[in-house]
Amino acid sequence: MRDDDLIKPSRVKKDLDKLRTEAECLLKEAVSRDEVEAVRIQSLGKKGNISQILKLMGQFPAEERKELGKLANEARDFVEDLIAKSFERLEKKARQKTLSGQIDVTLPGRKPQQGHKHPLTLTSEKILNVLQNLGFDLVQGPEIEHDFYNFEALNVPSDHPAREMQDTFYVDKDVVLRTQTSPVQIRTMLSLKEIPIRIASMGRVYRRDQDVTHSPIFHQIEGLFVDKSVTFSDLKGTLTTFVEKVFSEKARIRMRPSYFPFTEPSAEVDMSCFQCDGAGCRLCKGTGFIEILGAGMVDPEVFKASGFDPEKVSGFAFGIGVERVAMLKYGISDIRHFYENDLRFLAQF
Amino acid sequence: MLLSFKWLSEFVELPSGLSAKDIADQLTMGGLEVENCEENLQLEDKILEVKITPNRPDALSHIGIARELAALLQTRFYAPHSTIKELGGPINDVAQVSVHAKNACLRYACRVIDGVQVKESSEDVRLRLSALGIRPINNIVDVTNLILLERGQPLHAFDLMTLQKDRHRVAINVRQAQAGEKIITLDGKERKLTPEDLVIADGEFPIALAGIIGGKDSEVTEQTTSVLLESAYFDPSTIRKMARRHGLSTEASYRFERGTDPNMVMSALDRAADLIAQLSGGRVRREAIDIYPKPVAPLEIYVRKQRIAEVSGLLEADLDEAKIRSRFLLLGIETVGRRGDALIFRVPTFRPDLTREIDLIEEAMRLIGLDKIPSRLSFSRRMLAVDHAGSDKYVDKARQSLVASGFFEAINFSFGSKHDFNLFKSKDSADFIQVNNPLGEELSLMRQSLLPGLLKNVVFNMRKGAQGVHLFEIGNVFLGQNPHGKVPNIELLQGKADQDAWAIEQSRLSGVSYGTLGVQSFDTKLKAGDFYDLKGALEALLAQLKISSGCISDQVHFIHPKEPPVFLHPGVCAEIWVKPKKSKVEILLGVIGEIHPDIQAAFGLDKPVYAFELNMDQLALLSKEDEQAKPLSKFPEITRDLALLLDEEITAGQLQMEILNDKAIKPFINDLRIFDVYKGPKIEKGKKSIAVSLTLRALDRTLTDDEVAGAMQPMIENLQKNLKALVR
Repeated sequence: MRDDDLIKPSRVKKDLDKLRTEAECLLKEAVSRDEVEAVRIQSLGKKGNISQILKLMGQFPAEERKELGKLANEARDFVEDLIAKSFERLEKKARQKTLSGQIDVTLPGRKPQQGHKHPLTLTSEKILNVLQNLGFDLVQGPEIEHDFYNFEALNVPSDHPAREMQDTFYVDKDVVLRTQTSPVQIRTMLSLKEIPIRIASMGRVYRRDQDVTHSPIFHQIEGLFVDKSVTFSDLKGTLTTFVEKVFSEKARIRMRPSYFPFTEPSAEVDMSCFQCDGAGCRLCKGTGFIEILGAGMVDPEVFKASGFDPEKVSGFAFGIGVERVAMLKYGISDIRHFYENDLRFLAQF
Repeated sequence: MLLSFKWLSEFVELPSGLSAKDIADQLTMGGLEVENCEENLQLEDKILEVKITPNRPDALSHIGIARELAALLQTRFYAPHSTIKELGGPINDVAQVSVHAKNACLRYACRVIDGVQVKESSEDVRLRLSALGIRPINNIVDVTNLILLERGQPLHAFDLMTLQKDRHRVAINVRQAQAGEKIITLDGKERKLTPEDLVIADGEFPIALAGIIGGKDSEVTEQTTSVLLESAYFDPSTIRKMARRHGLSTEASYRFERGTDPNMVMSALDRAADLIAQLSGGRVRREAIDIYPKPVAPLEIYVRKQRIAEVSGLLEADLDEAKIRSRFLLLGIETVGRRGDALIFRVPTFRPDLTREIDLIEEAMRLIGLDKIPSRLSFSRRMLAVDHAGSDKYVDKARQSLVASGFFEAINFSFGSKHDFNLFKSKDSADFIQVNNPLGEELSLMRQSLLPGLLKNVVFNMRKGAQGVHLFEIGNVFLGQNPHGKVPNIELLQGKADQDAWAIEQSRLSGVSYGTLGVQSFDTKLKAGDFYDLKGALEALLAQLKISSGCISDQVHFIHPKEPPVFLHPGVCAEIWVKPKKSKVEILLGVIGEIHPDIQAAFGLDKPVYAFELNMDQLALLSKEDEQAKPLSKFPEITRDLALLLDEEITAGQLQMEILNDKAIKPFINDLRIFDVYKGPKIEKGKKSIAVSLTLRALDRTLTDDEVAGAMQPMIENLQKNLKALVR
């Protein structure tokens, strides 16, 4: 460019118009970012056309300079705006392109490997959670037990017919695989010596019995509450709440007198059938009720063996079979499923 | 116990309109659970099957249940009468009785019936016995069984002729057996007797196992013409022990060992003798022999009304004393007086279960009905918000962590076979605790490890076609006898409630991992898990329990043991040691490794199995609940990667320790990660390359490159000095 060519303001105006039209044309047709970028460099870059024109402004007298400057700035703003819009247009177009494809949403997802808790664990967690919320503390005891704690202290002397209720495994003379979790009651009372005692014990128990509904090893959960003036009413209230929380708010209980050597009075506790709600169905054999717990008031002999005066304290105890609850809840008919540990079974819980 | 509805109604007034089903419900709610109620068309009768708890021998008969029904329904009970027609000469002419075992036989009575004709009973009798579960034999034995079912008193008929032999008069003796004596019992078995056995003898030989079963030689047969009929009361515990020793339970022993009524012996005998005479054409000899030196008197029991209220929760004011007394009377329990607040009751001898005040309170509550007792929740009915599970949280957390890592929880029996267990037993471990009466050899030893059970589960699932089996179990193992637990010792319970446990029991957490990891998807290949996958799951668990502090753990160490456990691959196993903060001793938490190839082969496994076993009791002690949060640095972290050439024997652990304990770099280390291990042609033999990535930061400022370089350099020099490590 020669100086004399630019001196004339009219020429400058013309050039600016031309620049605007050129840029507009190029940008309209631009199909890539590079092309837009080229226009930007050509018109607005350090050595670009508009920049060059702006540099010349000093040569003009003040009045013309003002007018030309204004025009040049307008042209720059105009092109800048066009460039921004072009970028936007291209980006949008690019995004549009990605929207055209479609994946097969019906292909299976990639699953993380999921483990499972054992159904007996899930069942006992539920039961223990309710008991713990009712204020029962969890305690444990040995599985190999002295006859004294398993029978004698629980008011089952050695030649008592009640021993027949529980066929027992022996590992030594007067040493048994515990047939119930009740020995934990005795141990706790003997070691604590203070009231109130409110404990739940959970664990394996052993009986020499094996068929579809009996396993030589199964799990029991037991509750014991000892304090001043605990009554059968308290037992009933506790079990009512217990059954409501473990099974359903609609569940009702029914207590039938029964016999356990370590409680007097004793009761079998039935719960209204959760399948038919008491109307009678196959699950409850038409009775509307399902036997679910054994319970009773702690027998005075048990208190004596555990270092308490039955005239001064009273208490209740109850026990529940975890397998039985799980079988009812999950509709499992063969108890052996629990110990086979078949992945196809375990994966269902 | 099977009962005839028709027969029952002979002894109790049943309100009209009550069906057999209603009666069954009444009994069930009264504590005599009716398990079945079936129509018998031949007899036009209903047969009830009642479950009788062992404390209620009185309910093992029709009159017992009838009496119970009368009390429950508050109607009349018709006590049976016994009349007897005596026709023959005095019994003393043909028999005499002496009781030597006075403690075991409180009462012994008998009668003789002459001129009987032994034959099949009438169809009526046979059908009734069959329906009630007793096999009809002949018109003599059947009568003894009818009376047993009617009154609950076992009776036994001997053929008198076989006892008399050439003698004129039979001398019956109730005595202990002598060592070496034998008897062939009615079931055809020859039984050796011991002095603990109580027998009925005829002067020389035992003729019956008292209270259990008669002898074959004196059996009533079609040739029998005279019968000696026995009715007695035997000590329950004696009979029970005998029955157990001889592995024999009969209708008679079942009742004697629960306790019969010593004061019913004569009435039952008379009733039976009379019936035998009627049905067999015989004559009952005059008089009966009845040896009953110390008659058993009914007990008198004091019951405080206030105590009934205290046990039941009923208000004392709501207790209707007159009603309780009248219903007790229907059960045969008479009110005989009053002293202060207490009523005095006389309990009939057919109720051996009622000996204490509490037993009568139970009886009163039973008659009132447990459904009438109000329900009360003495502690807040609302669920407490407080979680009391604290003591056991670590178990839940451990379980949760393994489940999240893809493990399935298993539960196995605590006993198993010698064959399986021996494979896992180290030389110095205690002998297995043995079950004396197992259900089979394969269930005879108490486990010392959870792994044999889990491995069996792997095999089971492998055979079902599972490609990957990842299991864990939490349970007790039994590690021999506890020296403080030979006998129960309640003195020891003061500190801990199981100090005198007979066995050393330990809670364990074990896991096994076999085959592929993860779930197959449409575009990924499954990879078989190995030692490091299992170790990773375990490290995640330890981090969850706050035993290890995460990536740069300076508390948990996996150390290759000097003496690897017998059940693990000697080259692929580690002991897990934990050094708690502020503690000088390291604690052995457990082991991890590959199951020994010999064991894999013995179990029939086609691929390696990786396993760990942790001591849960230690886990409980080491796990922490609430850890203080660490401050986050506000300043940027700098990462430096470093590839080091090392001798092959140097372990990653050694390298890590060296870096973490390096004085220069220690203050800046936030994380250390090993991201590559290389052995191969690119480096010289006997060497390996380990690449580590260090994340460095300062808590109070931005680290400069110079500062980092200034710390890295001395560290690299130290690594070179101590481990002969070279930066590649």
